Amino acid sequence: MILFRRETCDFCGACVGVCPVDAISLAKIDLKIDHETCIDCDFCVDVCPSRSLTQDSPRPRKGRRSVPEGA
Amino acid sequence: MLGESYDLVIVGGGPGGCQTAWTAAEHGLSVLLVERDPDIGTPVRCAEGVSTAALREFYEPDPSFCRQHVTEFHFVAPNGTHVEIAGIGDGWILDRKVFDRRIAQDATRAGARIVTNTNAVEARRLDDGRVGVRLEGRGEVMCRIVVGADGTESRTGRWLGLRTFCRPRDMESAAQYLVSGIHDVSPNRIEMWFGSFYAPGGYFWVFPKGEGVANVGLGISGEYGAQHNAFFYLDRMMDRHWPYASIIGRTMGGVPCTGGLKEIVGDNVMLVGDAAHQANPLTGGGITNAMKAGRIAGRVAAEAIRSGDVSKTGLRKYEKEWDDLLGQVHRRCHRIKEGVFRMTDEAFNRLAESIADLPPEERKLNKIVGRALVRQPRLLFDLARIVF
Repeated sequence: MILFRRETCDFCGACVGVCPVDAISLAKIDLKIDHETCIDCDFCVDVCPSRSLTQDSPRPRKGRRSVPEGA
Repeated sequence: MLGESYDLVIVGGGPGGCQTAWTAAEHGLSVLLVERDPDIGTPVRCAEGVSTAALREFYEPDPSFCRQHVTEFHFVAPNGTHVEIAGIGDGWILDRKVFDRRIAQDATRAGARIVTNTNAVEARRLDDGRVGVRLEGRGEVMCRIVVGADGTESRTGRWLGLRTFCRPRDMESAAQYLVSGIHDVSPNRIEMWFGSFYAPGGYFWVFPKGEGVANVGLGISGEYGAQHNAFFYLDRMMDRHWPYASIIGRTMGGVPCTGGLKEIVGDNVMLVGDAAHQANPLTGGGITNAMKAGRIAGRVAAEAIRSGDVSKTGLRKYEKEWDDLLGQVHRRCHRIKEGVFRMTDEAFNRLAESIADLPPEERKLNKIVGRALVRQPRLLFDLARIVF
């Protein structure tokens, strides 16, 4: 599961741009992850400039291969 | 009070959104621009550099928003070799806090309405052919066309069926400090440093903002972000080169550096700026591109509303005009970027040495990128088409 750390987040939105399933939404000073929709591809973790998103599982349950075609 | 119906609702108050609002209002549309943050112009997620030629399409350089005139460009190789490159240095480092507000003011003078501190959370097509845009805590506003100028984090397109996903490889994950007290940096010179130590899949930049002050930052490709994040590289650079400097500002963000989206218009919707992946994929520069796109989008929106056709077909003209102006250039720049990505540190070092052998007046960008890509001849064709 993707974990979110609000203290270090700057709400820049890089994570939203790379989310292939539109599971992340940004409010004024908040970020929400829809864990039902999330496929644990970890793209958001990779692009976060401040390490505010992390993957808590060493082996994500679904992973990158589940990124839909033509996302 | 917000009115409940407009011709155009624009989501996002950066240069792209504000320019769209300005042009559309000048063409007689009723325009509402909603901005999530409490201020137009902040936070600044930008290195603030523009070329003089592109700026002058919109504004004459003005001391109120132009912080520093730059006339030189330096390429720095992984081994630290500095090489000056001629002919591409003329530009300005802006003060975006002032610049964005200037465009916003010009938009409102033309008749557009701007509301800040207002977050758009959903857009949906209604049965009567309009679009409803739901604003957090402020109800729903109706419009004929919605413009997504909401940046990297854009969801406006997704709400209305456009695919705006950016591959992590093409998302530059960027970190920047506003640094004061660095006296070995020339105020007239921008620097771009390349190599896997400085910024894998991107570059490290120094954009001066006056004597001893500069935007110092870098972007790394999201593909390399799994090992270290952007601030790891930036802090390492600061420790190594300017350990004594004062960091008086800090910002971060993502820049989509793709060859462009397949579609930037749909029924009742247009995308502008980073939301439409319109930054130059080679440099990441997007301020004036977003404004150029906004100027087209505002005019096409007015034509579409006048003719009564706000469908994808009616708005397609914007996509076509953008493509003719810069879309094709960006696809070629993206292929060149991929070529530069493949260059090893040794190749960058050899390139710097070979440029240093040239007399300064012959160090033109096209010649240099041409040399860089000499082992990838297919890309030289792309380069030739951009430059000539």
